[in-house]
Amino acid sequence: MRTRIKELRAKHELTQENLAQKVKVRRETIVFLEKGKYNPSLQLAYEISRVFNLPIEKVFIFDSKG
Amino acid sequence: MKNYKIILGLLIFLTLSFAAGVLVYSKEATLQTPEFIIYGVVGLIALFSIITVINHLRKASKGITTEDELSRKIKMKAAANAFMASFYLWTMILLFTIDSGLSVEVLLGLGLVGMGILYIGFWFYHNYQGVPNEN
Repeated sequence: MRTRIKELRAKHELTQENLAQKVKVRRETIVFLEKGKYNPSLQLAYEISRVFNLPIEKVFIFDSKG
Repeated sequence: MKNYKIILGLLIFLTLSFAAGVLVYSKEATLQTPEFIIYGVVGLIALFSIITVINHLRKASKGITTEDELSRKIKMKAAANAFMASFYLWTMILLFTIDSGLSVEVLLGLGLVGMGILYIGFWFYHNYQGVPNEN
């Protein structure tokens, strides 16, 4: 799964720390999400999408390769 | 930076206190080498726990989240891997110490400390490498 978190974060002028605080996770979790090393829970994916005001599928792009 | 120095000072103080304690104890009770290793490793595990607690308290006081779904997953993965690896550890302990004459308490201590080290090792690995996506 690919994510557009880094791109959207830059667009919204948010740091990893800011985004982490908004969705109540550690900054390290945002780092792993951006690197595509971690697939978030549905709840976290929903909360991140809500920060960017976008539907989940616009933030997390499903890729069959994993 | 100031907090970092306080924590570093505290850690050095605790390490020195522990080393002094072991030294005083060893003069009175003459520790055997395996026991000395066990005490040393237990001290390191205690130190690791203290670092973790201080780190959590420091972050919590700033209102930063210290535990989330990924950190819980890392703990679970590290515990599962340490549990699996401990089978090999106990087998090795039994194989290599069966005729060594070491007391049961020392062997149990070695095994338990080994399990602790395995958990910490796997925790560090997953904390820096992440947990593999399971899909």
